[in-house]
Amino acid sequence: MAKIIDKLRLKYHAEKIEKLQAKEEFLENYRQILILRSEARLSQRLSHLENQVQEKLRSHAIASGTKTPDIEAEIGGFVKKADTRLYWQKRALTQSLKRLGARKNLSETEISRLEAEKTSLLENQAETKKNRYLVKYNPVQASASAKADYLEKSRLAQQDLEAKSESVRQLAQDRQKRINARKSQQIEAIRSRIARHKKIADKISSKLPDFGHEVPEDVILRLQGLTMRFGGLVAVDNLTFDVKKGEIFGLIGPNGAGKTTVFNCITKFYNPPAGLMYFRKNPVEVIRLNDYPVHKIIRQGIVRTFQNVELIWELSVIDNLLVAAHSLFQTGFFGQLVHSRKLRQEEAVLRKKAVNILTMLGLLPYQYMIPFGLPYGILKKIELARTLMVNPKMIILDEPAAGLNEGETADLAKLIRRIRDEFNTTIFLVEHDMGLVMEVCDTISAISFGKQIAIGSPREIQNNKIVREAYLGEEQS
Amino acid sequence: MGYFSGIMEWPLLYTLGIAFAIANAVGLVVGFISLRIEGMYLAIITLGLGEIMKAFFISYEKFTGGYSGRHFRNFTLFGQPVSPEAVYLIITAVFVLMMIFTLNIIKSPTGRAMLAMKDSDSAAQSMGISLLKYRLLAFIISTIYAVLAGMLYIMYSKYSYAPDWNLSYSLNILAAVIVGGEMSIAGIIIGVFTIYGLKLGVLDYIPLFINNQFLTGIFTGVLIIVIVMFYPGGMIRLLQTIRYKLTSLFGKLKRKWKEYRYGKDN
Repeated sequence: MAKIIDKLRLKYHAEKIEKLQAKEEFLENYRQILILRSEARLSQRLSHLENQVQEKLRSHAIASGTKTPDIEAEIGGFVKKADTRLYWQKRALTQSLKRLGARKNLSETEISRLEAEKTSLLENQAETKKNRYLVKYNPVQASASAKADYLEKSRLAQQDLEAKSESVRQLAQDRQKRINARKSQQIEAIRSRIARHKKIADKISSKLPDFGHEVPEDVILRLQGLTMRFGGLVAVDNLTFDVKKGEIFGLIGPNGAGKTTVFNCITKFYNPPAGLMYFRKNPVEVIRLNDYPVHKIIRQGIVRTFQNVELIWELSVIDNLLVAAHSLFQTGFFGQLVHSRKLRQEEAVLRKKAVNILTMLGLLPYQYMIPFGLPYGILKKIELARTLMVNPKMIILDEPAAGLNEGETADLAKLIRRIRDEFNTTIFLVEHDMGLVMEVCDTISAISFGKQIAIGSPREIQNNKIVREAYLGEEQS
Repeated sequence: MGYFSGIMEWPLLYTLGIAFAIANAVGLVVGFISLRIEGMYLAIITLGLGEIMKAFFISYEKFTGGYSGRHFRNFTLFGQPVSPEAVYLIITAVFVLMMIFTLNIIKSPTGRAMLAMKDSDSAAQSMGISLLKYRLLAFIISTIYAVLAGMLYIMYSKYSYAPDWNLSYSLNILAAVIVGGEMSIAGIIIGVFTIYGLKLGVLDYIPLFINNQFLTGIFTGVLIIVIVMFYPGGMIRLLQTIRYKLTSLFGKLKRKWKEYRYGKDN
């Protein structure tokens, strides 16, 4: 009884710690977003101030005949407008004269005479119009006193502008400081709460049997005697191996060897009748995957992709990534009903993260597209991007190269390495494409009919006789 | 389903709370039962449940008045009787509010989770979406809509006749969804106006339809067949297509006029 209560308490504290850690991460990310926003606002205000000064000085500038860049642009705009108008009027004139000529059987010379007459008229009109503006901006008697006045005023305005923008900058800096202070205070509080929960959890877990000591420090996933049966068929038979932290582990085998079944057991789509699966959630904590339901696996840090792409076809690519981040949202249902401020903040944080991931994978142009109908290679990449949303400890790839051409496969190999290095994860993959497996994997396990026949580095596997037999059939001698 | 709780002659808010409680309980039970059922079979179960409820209401005469129906007094809200004009206002307010809530849900993680569940169970599960939770949530949300609709109906008509709540009523609502366009709030509003508004506003003034009531049903049926055959997305997609065609037509006309007036571009 006491044991059960202890277990429940441990679970409670573990969940609390998880939530608080997620909150800490959210605050950290949100702080950056806030600071970025305040910087954008600062630059906006500065440019606004400058515009205001220009606006104030405009009339003086016009009176003194000085041409500031925006006045010049304005004059250019008027001239251009008059010119385009003239161009279209001329074209309309030629057309109408053509029609007139056809109707009244006029001769060519007659038409050209009329055209020249009307054209000169139009040109005159345009010229007078242009002149009106030019005179306005080019006063003939721009007196020396007006010029001096303008210079003096602009100098004063410049000083004023500098003082004002300095104060605005100061304000923004203060604001950023305040944000930083407040957020770090909150983060500090959360950290202390995490520490408190951890202390209690450690106290309880020291009483309970610990799986930790069984699993060596550098092993992230350990399968022990994993067995899966479907009726009479034994799909996975007493499989035992370790996946080391930070490596790329490949699982190979002929068709129907039970590779995907192993994955489905690890992610708990199947509940294996026998065998233990240990997973190192963080450096100090080891959990038994058998104890978790399928939708909680992602929270332990294991994400998977599927053999045939399983995206949500009605949502845009970025929304697909947000679905993957579902476990990171903490707003409750009622908060979602009214789109509370917290939800909006969380969305902003996760959207930014999604954009970063898409940029890294080169998928940014596809951001707002519906995945339906995109090329297969892109879809596979989107699935990969989806796994990265939750900072996984281990990514499980089910035939990532299936349906890709050679160039895409080569890219994928590079990408897998890059993901492993940049996101600091372990990658566990099933693949038929031997080129990819041999190139990218650190350790390979070969299975046949659910039994492990070899495990080792790619070289060892290539030279292993049993593996060859499993793939190519028995050698005739 | 939710309307029957309006029968008790208590202040509105109490009744609403009780109605929510009862309807959610029923919805939860059905949700649990239907966890392993998908697609069409789920629809059959819910329709069957509607029939069971109807039979239950008819035979439970003490509350519902059975085949003679039942009249209601004016409702009271915060101690004040609700006037018929206020009822219209309340209906509009609730309608707008529910539309906003629905949009919010669709755009929030819950809505995305539900869509993910619809497309692929396994992908949804692997991304940490609990099928149980979201299926039950879907049932609860729909019962809340039903309860509100029932309450508003009773407030508006002050009369309830249990045999009215039959299969054809449910199917009419389904027809409105299909005609208007699934997965679009505007589409469903259009659908409701075509199915019910046409009947109330147009067909009821045409002598042929007044004399032969069954023709209205036939009209709806033909409408559904036409929509499903030619515009599977519903009227909202049809409107979008029309808009697109009109804009392209205007563009063409504008180009033609330009060519006439200014001559061909070189």
